[in-house]
Amino acid sequence: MSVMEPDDSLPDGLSDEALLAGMAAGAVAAGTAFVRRHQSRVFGLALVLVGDPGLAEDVVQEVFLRAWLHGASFDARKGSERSWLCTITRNLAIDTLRMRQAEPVDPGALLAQLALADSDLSDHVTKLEDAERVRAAVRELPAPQRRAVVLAAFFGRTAEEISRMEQIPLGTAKTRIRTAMLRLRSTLAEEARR
Amino acid sequence: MSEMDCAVFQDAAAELALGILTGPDRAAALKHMERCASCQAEVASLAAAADRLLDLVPARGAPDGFESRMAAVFRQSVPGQAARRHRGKGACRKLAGWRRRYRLAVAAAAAAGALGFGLHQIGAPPQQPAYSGAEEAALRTPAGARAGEVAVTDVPQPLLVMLVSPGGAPGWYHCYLRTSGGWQALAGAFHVGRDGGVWVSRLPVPAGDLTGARLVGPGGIEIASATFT
Repeated sequence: MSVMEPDDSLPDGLSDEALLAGMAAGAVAAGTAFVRRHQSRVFGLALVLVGDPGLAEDVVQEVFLRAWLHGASFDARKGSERSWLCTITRNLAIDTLRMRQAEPVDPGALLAQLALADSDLSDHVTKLEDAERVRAAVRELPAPQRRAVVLAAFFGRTAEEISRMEQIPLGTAKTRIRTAMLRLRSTLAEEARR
Repeated sequence: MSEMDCAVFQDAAAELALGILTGPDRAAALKHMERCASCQAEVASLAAAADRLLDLVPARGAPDGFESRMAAVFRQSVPGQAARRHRGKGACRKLAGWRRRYRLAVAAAAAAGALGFGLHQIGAPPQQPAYSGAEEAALRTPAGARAGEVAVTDVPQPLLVMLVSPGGAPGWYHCYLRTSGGWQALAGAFHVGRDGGVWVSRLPVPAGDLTGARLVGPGGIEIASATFT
């Protein structure tokens, strides 16, 4: 082709979907562009979950390798590329900690960290504002719901696992997760309208 | 697997959006979602809220050289290789499909820059396909052989991307478009080399009005055509 082979330098602005298509087709340039776009967030999550920078790097490398190998299986109807990467990251982080018999990060400590921490990269002003909005929305949740949603979103805990950890009936765990998510969605939508 | 109705699905939607629904419940929810647009929309909006939770994670700069190390890892691992070994032609067709989508997206993004469109409008919106409202079709010779692909889109502006496979006679080619009204519009002319070519142009009519495209080669001979379904 005379204009653009997959491994040529890429124009700006390709969607994640296009990059995943390139990755599924074996285009290394698409893979590295995808890494560049998501690595800081994936590193942040891995580090929060495993607590050790070296271990986090191993996890992140495996996350992107899986994205590279299985990008074709991504289904946008089930969530965004970022959520998909987050799910891979947390599953791998949990597996890594299990394999090394390391102590997982305490959910309570993570909750405190997420509620207080600021980004150490000045991504963009709107990003910081976004994070503040989300932080405020999570803070508004009643504590049991906040804990349930953090356990689910960051630790990948199922409703059944949350019911065991919190010693509550399964139905209550499910209700806490659902109610928290509905409230978050509603609060964030209201914020967006203001 | 038991059938799931909308009421039961709504109870499970948040867990599905968070990626923590497992086993038969997940399978039943996905099956229901396949055929229910409103439940799909419900999960999409909850997934968007779940996605926002990731904003809480402090971003961390990657270690020096991480990107290069990943590039080296990618070069050693071919996506879908094992699947292709086991599944044969079907997997190869899928791979070709991925290549085509990627090349079209790259060509469209490059063209957007060249034509002065906002690049971000083509690529950036999360959860939106690169070619919202797009049509893609194979270009086939009168004998039915594949000669390339053509894609048209109205987003962000009416745009045509044509890929011509290598092997044809080099020279100037004309592209004509057929609309639902039946008339043909000349989209433009472009040069194709021995190694094929990619051509991107603004569409003279909305993509939704198009029913097909014709590729006319040197000497006015129809080389190939495509039909949008």
